Amino acid sequence: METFLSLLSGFSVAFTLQNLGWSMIGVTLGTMIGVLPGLGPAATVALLMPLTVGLEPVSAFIMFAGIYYGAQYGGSTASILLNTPGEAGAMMTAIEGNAMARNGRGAQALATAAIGSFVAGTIATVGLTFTAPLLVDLSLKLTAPDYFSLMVLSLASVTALLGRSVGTGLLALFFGLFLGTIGLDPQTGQGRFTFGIVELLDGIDTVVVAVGLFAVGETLFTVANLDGAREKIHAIKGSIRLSRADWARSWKPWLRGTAIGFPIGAIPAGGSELPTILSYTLEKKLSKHKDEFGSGAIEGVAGPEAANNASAAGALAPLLALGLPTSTTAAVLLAAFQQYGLRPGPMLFDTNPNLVWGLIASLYIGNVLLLILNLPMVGVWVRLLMIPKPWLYGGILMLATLGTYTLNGNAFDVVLMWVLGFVGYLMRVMNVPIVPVILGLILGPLLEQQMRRSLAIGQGDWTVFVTHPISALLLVLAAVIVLMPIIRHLRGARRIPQHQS
Amino acid sequence: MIFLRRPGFSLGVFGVLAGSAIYLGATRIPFGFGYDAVGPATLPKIIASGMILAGGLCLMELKRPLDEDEPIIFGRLLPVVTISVALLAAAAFMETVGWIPMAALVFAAGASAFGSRSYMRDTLLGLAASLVVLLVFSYGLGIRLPLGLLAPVMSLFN
Repeated sequence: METFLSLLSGFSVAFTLQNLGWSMIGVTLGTMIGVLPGLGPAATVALLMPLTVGLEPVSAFIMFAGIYYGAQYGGSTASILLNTPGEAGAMMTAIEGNAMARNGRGAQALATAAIGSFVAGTIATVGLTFTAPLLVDLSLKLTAPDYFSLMVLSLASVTALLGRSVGTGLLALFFGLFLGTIGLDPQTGQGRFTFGIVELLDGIDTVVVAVGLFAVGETLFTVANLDGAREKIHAIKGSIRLSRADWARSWKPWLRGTAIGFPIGAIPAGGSELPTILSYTLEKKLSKHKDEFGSGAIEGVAGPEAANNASAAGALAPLLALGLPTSTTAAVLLAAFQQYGLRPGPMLFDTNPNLVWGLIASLYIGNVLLLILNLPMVGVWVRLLMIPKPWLYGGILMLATLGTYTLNGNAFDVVLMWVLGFVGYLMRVMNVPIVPVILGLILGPLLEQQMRRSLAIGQGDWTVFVTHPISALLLVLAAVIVLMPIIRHLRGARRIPQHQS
Repeated sequence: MIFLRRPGFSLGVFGVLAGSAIYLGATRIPFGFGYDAVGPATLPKIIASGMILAGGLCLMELKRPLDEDEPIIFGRLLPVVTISVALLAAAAFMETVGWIPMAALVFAAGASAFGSRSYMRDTLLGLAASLVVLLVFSYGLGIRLPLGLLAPVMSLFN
């Protein structure tokens, strides 16, 4: 009941004309940038962050929520029509969605993606509404060592679950953690790894890293591998309405995708990649049209799209209640909170209920707005995909420069963005996952704070992390997740010579 | 070149070397004061050790038969250089030359890297787009973008 009243007060905040306007601007811009090929939700949110400077925090976050959901919708349009998933979570949609588009069923793929995203987004937002307060209650029971271990677990699972090799994943993670230590140590004021550069004393902004690694890195990688062939955009034929058969084949995958996406999005498991893969596999297994998979099965779009959006809402639960980002986009959102001097976590529900509940309420509104934007107006977004590549990427580079420069009004950030963009290009070339870098960067300073707080409580005794039962359990889990693939690899490596002999 | 033929090898070597360098750097961080039990150098040392370990792991994970490894393919480097030079020039001259010409340069360089050959049209389009951005940011959002060389011209409109 209390939750319900809080939500109602949230709606009273979100339903003002002004905030509805910001939500509308947010979903429109989010869809517009998200639809550009190669730009996923994290890069979209990072690129659009400067636009919210100067707004009231509540309005700014309502706009962010719109951008966040809008980028999810826009990303699926690009995946379906152009086969350019901007983020791992859209990869599965691209497989079946683009196959459907090739068969002239692009309109139906877009429709099932949009309606599925709406259904999943709305159900998952209800889930968020009721789990966030529960998580807040739980988080009040956690001590500093527990928080530390929870972050270790979060980083461990992202590293081990994504990417092909644990070694490269860990390397990316430690690189991100290292980037996070650059600047003044918040507790003692000592400069660390600043190489005498004054601008580095403030540390490296998450936004610069996200824009550099994703937008610039992706652009450099794309231009290096350009083969001159024009990508084919598949025209949308006929009405965007779903036939009765399409509805019948879509609604169950939507619900199953939601059921998979929300909980996995909420636990530290690396965001939307895992739930979308699980949903795709499940739909393939359950489908009566198994033979259509790979050549355009509507279930393969409906399920993963729902899972993707549900996990986006799921990721907001630990972000708001614990201050713990479980996906890159959540990490960028956390950076946005930090820019406003706000710390997501249990205290935020107490000190700033208008902001938290206004944000949650605006997610319901944003979902409705997005359905309206994406069903009848999909043609407008498709136009954006038809912009010639040179102008598209020229524009992306300009936006990236704008976003990083306006962050602090400092040209050094643009240099940093290029450096990170080049690193991102090298990482793409060598197949190193990028997500652990961003999560390491944003979680590193929080992790260090909890680590030093725990050690201060334990008077320098490191056993403090294993004598607290919750912390010990989380650390064991983290160790298992990282060590399992390594042990499996070592065993496999030993077996091969035996085979040969 | 084994570095190019085996990405895992290059990454492993990078991890070990960078980790060692970070460790060395961390030993030079002066110890803090106050109630801090471990000081500001502890986490960097842990990170450095982790990086060395991760590098070692990359080396261990190297696929046994060499030809199974995917070699590093950098692709065409000229367009990468074009974009890089434009971005660095934009950073260097943003304050003095101003947002409009520099953003137009980034746009035109990006377009030419992606194969466009109508330099004049791209530059004009870039100028127009950056002007719109500047107007929206300064009048709509109250965020100042450097006017640079165009400051005298722009002041006429104020």
